[in-house]
Amino acid sequence: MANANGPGGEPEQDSERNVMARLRGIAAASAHADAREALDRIPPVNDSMRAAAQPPEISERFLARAQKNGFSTERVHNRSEVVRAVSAYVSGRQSQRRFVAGHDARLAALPWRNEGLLPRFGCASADDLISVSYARCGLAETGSVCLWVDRDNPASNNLLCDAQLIIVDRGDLLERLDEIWDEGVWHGSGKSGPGRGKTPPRGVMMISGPSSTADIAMQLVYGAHGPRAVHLLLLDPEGVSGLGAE
Amino acid sequence: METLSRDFIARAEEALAQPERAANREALGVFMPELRRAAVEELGGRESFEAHREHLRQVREHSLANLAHYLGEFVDRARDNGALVHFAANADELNDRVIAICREEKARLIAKGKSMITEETALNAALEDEGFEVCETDLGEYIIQRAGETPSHIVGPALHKPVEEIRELFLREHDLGERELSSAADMVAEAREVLREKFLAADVGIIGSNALIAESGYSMLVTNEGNGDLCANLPSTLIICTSIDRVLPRSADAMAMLRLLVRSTTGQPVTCYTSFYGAPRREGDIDGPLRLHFVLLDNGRSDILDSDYREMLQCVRCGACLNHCPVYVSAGGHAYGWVYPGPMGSILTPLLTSLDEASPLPDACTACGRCEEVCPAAIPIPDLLRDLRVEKFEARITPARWRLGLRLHGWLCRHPRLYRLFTGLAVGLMHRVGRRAGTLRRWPLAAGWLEARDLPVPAQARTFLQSYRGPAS
Repeated sequence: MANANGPGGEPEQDSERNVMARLRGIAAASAHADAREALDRIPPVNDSMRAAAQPPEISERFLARAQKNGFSTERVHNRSEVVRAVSAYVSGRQSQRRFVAGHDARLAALPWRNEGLLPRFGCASADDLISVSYARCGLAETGSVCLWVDRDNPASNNLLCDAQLIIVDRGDLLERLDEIWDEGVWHGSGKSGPGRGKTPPRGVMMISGPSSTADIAMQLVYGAHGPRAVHLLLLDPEGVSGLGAE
Repeated sequence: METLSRDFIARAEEALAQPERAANREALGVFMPELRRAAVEELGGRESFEAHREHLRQVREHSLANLAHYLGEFVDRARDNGALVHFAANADELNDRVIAICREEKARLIAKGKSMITEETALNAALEDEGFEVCETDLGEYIIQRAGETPSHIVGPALHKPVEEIRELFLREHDLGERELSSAADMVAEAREVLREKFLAADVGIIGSNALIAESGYSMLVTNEGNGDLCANLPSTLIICTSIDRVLPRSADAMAMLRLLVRSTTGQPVTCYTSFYGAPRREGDIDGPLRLHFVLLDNGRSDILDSDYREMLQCVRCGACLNHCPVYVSAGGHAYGWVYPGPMGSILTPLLTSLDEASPLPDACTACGRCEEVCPAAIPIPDLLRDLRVEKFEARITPARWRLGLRLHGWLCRHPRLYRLFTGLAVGLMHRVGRRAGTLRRWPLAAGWLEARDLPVPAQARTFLQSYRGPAS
């Protein structure tokens, strides 16, 4: 590499210096002495969504919104039911009992053999048809699931397969988009997801439906590049079967 | 990218003469506003939308007022995360940086996600000149790349193309034997198959960014297809090309923007994929790029920041102003002659190129105000367009004949008695000349305007003011 910051060398450092100097010069008139303090004075939106955090129960709202996004959904109550649901889904889509899953300890601990399933733990390749992932959290506001992009949930597993199953714990459901950045969720201390210390993952993926496009004549088509179908399993030990499988 | 904005009128006429494409645009002008309206309703209606956009406006305004602070914070966080950050003062510098990275990586194939910034710098042409193969992977971008066209819309770049044109294009471009391709679903499936090979073989991925988050050093990527995520995760090197004005202070601010951005763009509450990338592959990770570069482009944005047009930098690139603009819907994106079409383009193009090169664009406006009404960043678009028209007049770019007419009009407006006398005479004359026909087809100094319109004749020989004051006046 030409310098510590990659290819480019001296002229590149000049560009950075010049652009930043220019911005500092322009900002001199309008910038706040304490930007953060000024930012915190901007009032938050007192919107109707906060009021909407009422019954129906969060899991109902999450599932209803998720279905609207094009996910198929299913509520399961224990780990055996998770495995049975995965088995039924896999059987419905392919003749083999195989699928790919990340190294999430929660996935490794599921009793796959009870249903004769053959998970391969690792990163999806172009030949894998189905992946199974465990979400870090789900969002009632948008019916989305969030996955930290790391060894437990390689990004390829969210993108390369024809179909994806994503498990989310009822206890990991959050109301609003902003909450995924809260300390407890971020560092895994407040929710059931595995904490990974203070190092943030290299990425976060929020998935809100199967891959889709409307680029041809504004017609919605699923499976543009990523999974054509995504099935959500809400693991809710105490809940009753409500919004069921599609 | 070459600026052809001077030929706006001729290019608009050309677009209007293409009935199939005009029908596509007309459908877009009905369908997209309806999707947005329903999404705003779901957010809690107009009042809730106003509250959200006022919050976003304040956050964007604050971010720009403190841009040096937040951009500096972003750069520090990104470098702490292990990313490499580069600055580019202009289009050539961005292209040179990217070419240097691709050379260093000994890249052959580059998979690209949607990026307006790289359209602005004409990166594809620069890379291809250096011998790299570049493949656009957003379906719309892929279609126009294969067709040798430019985007007509900042969100749906190929929405102008009729289905049959795309079908013929795929049959011609993809060597896949005989097949029907009778539906959009068939074409999407075929593009998926072709592009999957490209994703798997690409050495470098290039994507844009919807927002840079200062507190975390992450970049937010909003897509429905997932192509940007494939570009970001499969190749061994990822380059995120974006501009210096994309910075937001906090993750929560990115979420506040996301709520309005997606609803304004597609009418969804959120897109299928919203991703945040901030670091190369970490120890123990089993996929992801080994190197992550950010290339941050200025290219005139610091000049805009230092001008009376600063509010334009609040733009979140949702495309709502395009979908709601009667001029855009009629004339289409190609008429604008550069990267950014529609109302936002009519401001950005003169600012990022020159008022001289883009002189017709500030006039491509009916002053209906729909763009401002729907803009999620509350940018006063009609006001900024009017200010550009004033600048154009003062710089003598406006034709002499028009300047003279405007001067006369201005002089008349400053002399109310004369104004009333003149308009009274004109209305009386129009009434007398045209009362039988009911409309006027010809009138002095209005030949151009009347070419495609009939002018209704005033029902009585009195101006509005005369009628308002009553018979005694």
